[in-house]
Amino acid sequence: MAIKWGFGKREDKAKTPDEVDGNGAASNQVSATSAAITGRKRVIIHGNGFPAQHWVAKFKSEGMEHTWSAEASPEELASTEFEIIIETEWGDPGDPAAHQSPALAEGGAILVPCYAISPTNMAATLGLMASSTIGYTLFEPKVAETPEAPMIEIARPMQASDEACDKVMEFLNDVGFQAQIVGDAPGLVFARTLAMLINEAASAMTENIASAEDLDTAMKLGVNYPKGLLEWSDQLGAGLIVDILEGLCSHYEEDRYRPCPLLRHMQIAGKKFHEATNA
Amino acid sequence: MANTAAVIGLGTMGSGIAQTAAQAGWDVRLFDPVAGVAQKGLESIRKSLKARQEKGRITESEMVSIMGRFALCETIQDACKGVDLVIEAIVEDLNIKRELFTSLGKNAPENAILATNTSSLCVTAIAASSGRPSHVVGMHFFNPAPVMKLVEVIRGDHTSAEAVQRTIEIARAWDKTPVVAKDTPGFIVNRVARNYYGESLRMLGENIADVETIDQIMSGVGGFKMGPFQLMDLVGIDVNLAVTKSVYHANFEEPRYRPHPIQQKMVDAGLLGKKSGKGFYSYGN
Repeated sequence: MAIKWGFGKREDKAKTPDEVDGNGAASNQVSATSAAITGRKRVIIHGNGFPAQHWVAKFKSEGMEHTWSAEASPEELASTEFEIIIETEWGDPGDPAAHQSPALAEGGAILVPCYAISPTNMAATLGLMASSTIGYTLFEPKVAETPEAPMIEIARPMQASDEACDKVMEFLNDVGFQAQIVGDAPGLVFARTLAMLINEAASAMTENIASAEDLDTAMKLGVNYPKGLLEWSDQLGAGLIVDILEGLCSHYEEDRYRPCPLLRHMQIAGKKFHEATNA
Repeated sequence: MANTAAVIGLGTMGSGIAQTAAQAGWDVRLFDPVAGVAQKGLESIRKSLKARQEKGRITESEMVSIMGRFALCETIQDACKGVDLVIEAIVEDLNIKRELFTSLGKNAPENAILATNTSSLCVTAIAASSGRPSHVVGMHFFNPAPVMKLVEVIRGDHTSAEAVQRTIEIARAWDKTPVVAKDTPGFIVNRVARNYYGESLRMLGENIADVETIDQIMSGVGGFKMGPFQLMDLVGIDVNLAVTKSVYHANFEEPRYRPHPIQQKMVDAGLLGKKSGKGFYSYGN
């Protein structure tokens, strides 16, 4: 099941879970190999970054074996080779010493968070492990009002081997995700778009266009957004949004992505749009 | 005690606004500068109400009583008689609107609110030609007006607080949810939403993902009802491009509002979306 995952229209789209299984629910693919990876508790969620909580929640809801570094003993971490390492923190990509991955078993793969860094740049921080690395972004899986498996975005760094791609796809099928394969830029698709929307909302607040409440109401009622943008920023944290925008800014070196100063201030001061009183 | 509104300009938005007011129990005086358009607008309101009646949302007698609230007028003067509010939805041209507001300023009752449904023009500039800018507001509805709950109430620089408050109350009386916005390009929605489309077009252009994938991700990950390409096809790629250009130019070519060559190409090629049978997606016969 070699998947190319190149740029542009992908012939491999037919191999994403929702099209292999005609009714679109990856979670229907309960395969015999499901135990092969996850049953042996050789999956580790590493770190306490933004997506860690969502991975842990997903594993728990599926009743699947996993290790979370936050709950594991140093002995266990030191003595285990993991088949799938899910990194959740991205830190400062310029600092090569910043990254300390757990041990990767032969044939294993590492999922790295690409909210604020492109897959290729993120893979490079893994040094010799770069060829085993696949980029992802994950947000809170939607409440299961629909039978579809929650969606995750993944992207192939230039360094990644075909084997790493296959391994990750198999893993995501087993866990019960619909994988959307996208290209090599920070923020993949959703994180990038949301950050730009929130940035614009913050910019409107800077100019006193409307109250925070009215701004959120307008986007929900005028264009059916699922949440107000300022409410969304409060939930995710201004810091995540600033990170994504900074990542885009340095990737493209374009003004377009520069974080609104208000967002930075809110991050520094620990303020929220819907708590803070207007100046 | 029925209130009366005048609706000037009976295209899609004007007809929808007139229907909204009449459904809320207001008398509505209709005028369009182009012969026959007001009549067509009234006919489209009748069709829309009939559809509601067929779905059981209103009774036959309610429909008759709503239709009875409209009055077709031959002149602006006639349309403005005894109204509490005038709202215009004529062509998006600043000079033409300014001429209209000069006329409204002369013909509407002294205390009437003069509202513009403009989505892209400066309310303050329109107000300046009215002779009574304190009474001029933006009252920006969303398509289709009878359905979409939001009204952006726009404060021109010289609009009085009282006028804003009265407009808020009228919007609520018409079963809408008003928000108040400063008079800036795009107000709230058209400005803040720009990069839902803009970033998506960039990602498409750079092969980050294709149309279907982007739309699926926005729904599947983000929970959006419609993805950006589905939405552009629905609203009209040309309409979306026009709004984008408007906000972009009004902000003196602020880079982050920049339109994308893909949309220009599609419009130039006649690929406008659903209404032309083909856009980012193809639509059946």
